[in-house]
Amino acid sequence: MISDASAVLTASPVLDVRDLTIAFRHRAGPVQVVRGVDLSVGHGEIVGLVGESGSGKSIFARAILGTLPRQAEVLEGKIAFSGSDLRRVPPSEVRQLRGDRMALVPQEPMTSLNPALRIGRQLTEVLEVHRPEIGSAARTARAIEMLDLVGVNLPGERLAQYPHQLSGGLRQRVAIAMALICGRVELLIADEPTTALDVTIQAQILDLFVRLQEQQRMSVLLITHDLGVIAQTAQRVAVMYAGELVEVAGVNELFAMPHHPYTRGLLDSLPRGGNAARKSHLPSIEGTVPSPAAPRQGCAFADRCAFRVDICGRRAPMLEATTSGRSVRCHRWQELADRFACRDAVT
Amino acid sequence: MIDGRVSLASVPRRPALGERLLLWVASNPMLAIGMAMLTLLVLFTLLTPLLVPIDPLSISATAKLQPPGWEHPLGTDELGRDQLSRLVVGGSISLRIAIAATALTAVFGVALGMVSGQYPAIDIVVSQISDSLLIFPGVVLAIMILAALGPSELNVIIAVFVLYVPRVIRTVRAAVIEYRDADFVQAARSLGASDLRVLALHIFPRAIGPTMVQLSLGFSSAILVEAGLSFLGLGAPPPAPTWGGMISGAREYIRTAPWMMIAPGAIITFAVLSLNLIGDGLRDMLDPRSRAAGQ
Amino acid sequence: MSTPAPPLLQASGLRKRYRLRSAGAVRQITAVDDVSIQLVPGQTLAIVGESGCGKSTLAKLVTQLETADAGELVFDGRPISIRSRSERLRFSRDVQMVFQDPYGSLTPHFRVGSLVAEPLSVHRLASATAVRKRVAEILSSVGLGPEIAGRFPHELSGGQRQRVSIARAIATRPRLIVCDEPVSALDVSVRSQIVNLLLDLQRDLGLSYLFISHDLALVDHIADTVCVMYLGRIVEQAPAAVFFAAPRHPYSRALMSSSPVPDPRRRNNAPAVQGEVEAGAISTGCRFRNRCPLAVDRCAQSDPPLDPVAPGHLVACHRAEELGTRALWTAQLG
Repeated sequence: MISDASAVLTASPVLDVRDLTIAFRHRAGPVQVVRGVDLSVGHGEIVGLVGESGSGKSIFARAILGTLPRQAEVLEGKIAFSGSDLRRVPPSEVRQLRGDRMALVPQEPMTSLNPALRIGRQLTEVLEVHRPEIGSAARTARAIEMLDLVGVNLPGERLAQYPHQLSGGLRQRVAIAMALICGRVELLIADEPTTALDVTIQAQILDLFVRLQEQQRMSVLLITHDLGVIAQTAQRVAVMYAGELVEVAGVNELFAMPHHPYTRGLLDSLPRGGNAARKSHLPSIEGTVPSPAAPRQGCAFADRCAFRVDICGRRAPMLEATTSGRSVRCHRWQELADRFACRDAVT
Repeated sequence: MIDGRVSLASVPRRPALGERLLLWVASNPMLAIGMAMLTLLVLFTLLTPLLVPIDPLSISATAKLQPPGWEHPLGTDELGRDQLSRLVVGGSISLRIAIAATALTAVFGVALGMVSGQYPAIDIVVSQISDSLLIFPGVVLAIMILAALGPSELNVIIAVFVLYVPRVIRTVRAAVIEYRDADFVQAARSLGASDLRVLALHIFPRAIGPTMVQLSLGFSSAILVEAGLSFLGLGAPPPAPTWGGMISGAREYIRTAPWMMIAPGAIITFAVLSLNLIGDGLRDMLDPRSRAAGQ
Repeated sequence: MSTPAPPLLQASGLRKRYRLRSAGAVRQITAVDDVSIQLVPGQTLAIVGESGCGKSTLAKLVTQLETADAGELVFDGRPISIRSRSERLRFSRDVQMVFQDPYGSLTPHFRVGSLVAEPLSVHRLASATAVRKRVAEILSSVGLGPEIAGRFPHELSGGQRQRVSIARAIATRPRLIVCDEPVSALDVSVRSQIVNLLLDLQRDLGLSYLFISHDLALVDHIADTVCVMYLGRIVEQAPAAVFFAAPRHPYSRALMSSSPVPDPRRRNNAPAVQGEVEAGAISTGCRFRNRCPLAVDRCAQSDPPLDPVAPGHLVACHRAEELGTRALWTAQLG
């Protein structure tokens, strides 16, 4: 797995974000919601971006897609997509990329699909915009083909239906078909794509993602708060806390040995079931996520950290590269890693 | 936050009264301006008779159509009656009608709106009636009512009430329907709260904002409708001075004595503006969420 | 096992139908169909299932927020009739509810102090002078300081709001709290705090929970008994230890293998079931048969009854007996 991850890193990545800082304009001055994030997604790689609400993960995705809300702006950094810096490309060209070479699968397709238009119309419209050379009959054929590919039964009949006539799972499949219909998608950004779905449907959709990613050789940035979803699908994981990446690692390494106290806290707090632990206290991270507007000195996680020492409150740690392509933003990661390695060896 | 430590330094000292008033005015500017204007208007109608004690009904053949001057600050009309006194007395009649009509509208509108939002069986009857009243153009309906009942102050109040109560019913009803299945309402019910408690404490406060807006609009419209009816000769019967009646009388003299129309026109505008400001200000103040978003 | 304690709440044969108007036609949906449950004092009964299975409707029937079309509720040995206001009041004092969405379930124009005081005044449990003190006590028992009483809900974090919801629910010293997905709207790092709080309160106050959830790992952690619902019916009911060791119903099995395990070494290879829940798709036989990988002819002919396969373990599946042997599972489901 380690060799796998590093192989991916050496090839030039589809998406390479460097030092991205995004702020919301506010009366009291700009509020930074994404702070100096470095993240790359290699060819054919599924990268999971984990974070809680307010961590900045969704704003990060919208910055890549060039669809930031009006009150937000990129303060600095570089968003390189297939080698070209999207911040230097005119907005019209970024718009050309969207839906064609990079696409979004949203959390709740009920709000992203147009409720007044039939499914067929919405699918063919994407082709009209990005592939005008395709004739209308071929467009319909392509739409049916895509619906079939994403596992929608009776695809021909679905074209005439409206979004509200479909179940949540089917709507999410249609949204995926829409994202892929141009056939040139290099980067798929999925923002909490299964959060609104039931578990049996979630399992189907996640399976579809993994299958499509292999078939189409595309890259996926999977944004979620659910560590289970990440463990089941991602190859590499980036953990975001209060606008910063605190840890980036291969999925096996991260779950086997989290380096950052926040990641460790999250993983420990998940109920694992089993008779021995039933009704016992779950380990938990005390306190709440700091407001992005609050002044920050030192490590953003320091207030809630069980391993806090003096320096954590004074100096902000940098995202440090460790061995085997991992990185972590913690003053004490090395020391903690040794300590937990000993503990794990004993138990 | 959870540990409950509150250091003494962090407890702010209680600001002085004047300071708090200034803070309040700064955070609710529209409401403050509207209330200041309304206070001025009320003071004007209460205090002016003491300062300028001229009988609004006394006719003077020698002093007719006089422009504003020392003796008659706002001039006189075609019968030589003092315009300022008539404006003041007319104001008290207009305000009385508007206050009475608005109070009636508030009481019945809120009660009927809540009941019809909560109980579908009652809703069918109430909504049918109030919707059919809304079909008529406002002034036409008022004219019909006054034609049937005859011109009098009470009947003007009734006409304005009938005109505006459906709007308040609809506003309150819409809020009740919007919130009756809301989570916080379900939560209150699951605590054991009665229908009345849920309606009065949990749902109605959500409707106060829009209801206040409707009522303040209703209040200002009451002044306008009363003026319109008086203008048409259907208001409080002469010689009682009303703002609308004054404008109506000034019609013929608009070229020779424009002050006769300007003064009542200006005061109607002033009254309506003050109430609209109060309505908007109340809406902003009563919804803590909109306030938080604004800060 | 010693002799079983008398149940705190016994619901039998609960049924609730809703009329749905869609495209001009009126359809009837049976949200809860002949459901019987028993709650043991001090224990947690978890209801598990996906959206549309009727678990939230069941919660509303138990708390009397909705009236059942058929069935009976017996609380603490007394049958509950909701005809009289005083009886309903008495019932709601004993049975409280915590809702899923901490943002929507607190009245936005109430301050926290008034929110927590409300159950006290509805049930006349504290004099006007004692209310403040009692509110502070209740807030402290859910881990909140008294200074929070002056705040509005929108000034609190999600976790704090859910603590306030729980504070309201325990204010009347109830014996049963119905929790409808109480942590699923919360951030991951806050969830375990709230779960721990619920566990503490259960231990300290001897509360029973009817715990509605879709999160199997969480249910495994907190439940004593598990009921799985599918399209309005209970399809499996068992003590948690038994259920999680060896679920018998194919749907329980599917739920379990669909839940994403936070461990990349245990990846699911293929989704356990295809298709989606469709209300009204099946009128005869087992409701799960159109998605069931093990369906046979018999499943189309008759609706399987909820029968015991072991003491305390009930399963509604024609093939429950065969499924007790592992061979069939591994052969068909991998």
